[in-house]
Amino acid sequence: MIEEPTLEQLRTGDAAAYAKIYEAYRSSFIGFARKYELSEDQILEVYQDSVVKLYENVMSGKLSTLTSTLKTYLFSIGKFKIYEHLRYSQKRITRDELDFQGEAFEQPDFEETPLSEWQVSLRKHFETLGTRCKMLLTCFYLKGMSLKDIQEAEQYENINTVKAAKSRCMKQLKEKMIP
Amino acid sequence: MNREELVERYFTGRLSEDEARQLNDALQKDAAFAEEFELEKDLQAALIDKDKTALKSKLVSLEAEKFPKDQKSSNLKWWRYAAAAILIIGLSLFGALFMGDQSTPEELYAANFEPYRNIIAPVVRGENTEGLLEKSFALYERGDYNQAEQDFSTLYEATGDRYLLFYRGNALLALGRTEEAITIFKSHQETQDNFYYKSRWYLALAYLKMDKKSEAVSILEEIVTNNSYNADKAEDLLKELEY
Repeated sequence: MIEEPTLEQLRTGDAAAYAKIYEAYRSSFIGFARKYELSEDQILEVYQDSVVKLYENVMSGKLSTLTSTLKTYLFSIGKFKIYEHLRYSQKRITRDELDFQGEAFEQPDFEETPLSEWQVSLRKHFETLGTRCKMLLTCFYLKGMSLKDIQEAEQYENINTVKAAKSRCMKQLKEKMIP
Repeated sequence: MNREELVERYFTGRLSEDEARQLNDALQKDAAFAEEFELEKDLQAALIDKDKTALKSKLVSLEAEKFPKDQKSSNLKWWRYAAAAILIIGLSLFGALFMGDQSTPEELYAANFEPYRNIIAPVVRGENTEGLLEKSFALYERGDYNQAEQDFSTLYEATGDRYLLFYRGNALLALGRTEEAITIFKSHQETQDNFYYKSRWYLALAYLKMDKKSEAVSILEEIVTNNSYNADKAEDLLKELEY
């Protein structure tokens, strides 16, 4: 067991923190997943996708409070993914076998939802913005930094300058979306 | 609390239940505001998705680097992710996490580094090394830098062809083994072959990656002065680094 980072720390999106979690629980996840008909590669892929899902849920605010340890949460995602994987490959497995005792099985938070066409296009156009805009929008919308934090970190004159810059960047993005 | 503040609290994850209700009310009452907010949420989803791809690549490389034994049985998938890793790391926001007022040297490295393309294997037909040479450049092209790097090293020992050092340095950089890459580039630059100026450029990038700004700057300045390989990019980098 490692000293787990807090949600607040994870909320900054620091990849190193997620890599640390990945390494810390890797062997115990493999041990756990070996019970099922999965190859080592498949197990690793499920595990990687689970850590990525953890990242997504933290960053999107879906995981805003932890009722268990991070490890438990991560393993619930993993279990869900193993179940999905086995179901997809048409192997018979019951939920009991996967040891979902007492856990609600419908877990929409663990499902993968692909981006809509609009979002894909947004992602593409975002890349064409200037560095400063990309940085600003990333700080605000992805890393959850407040305008005040951004003002300090990015050395804007004051909060109003950040606000103005942010709406300019959003305007640019919108214009790219709807020319 | 005004709408702007509510939206800010939403994205910083600090919205209380009461504030969430206020936000909902406002969204229901004002269609234009709701539309704006949807766009912001879509942007958030798009940015998360982008980083998910980058994180996945990072985990795949981490797996390959730290637990190589388990990778023996890996298949094509691994190549795909490794190749994706190189592309995506370039755009990745993770570099952006180490934030300052400007792009950090590491971010600049990430935005500029791309392994130099293979211009060797299609033209070279050696005799006794034919197999390995072609194989190693095929691996390099596919993004299996780990194996390619080992093969370049073997080939260099066998043939002494110095361009192999240049490509080996590139593979090491791609693998994130920056210090080793620096050593190799320096050794490559002991003589001036056709790749010399390209090698200088990659050495500058490696220094950026290591956050050795002054070393990077002095090479970049040299590149600009000589108007050698990637002089225009070097000039841009210098601007970014405020020199």
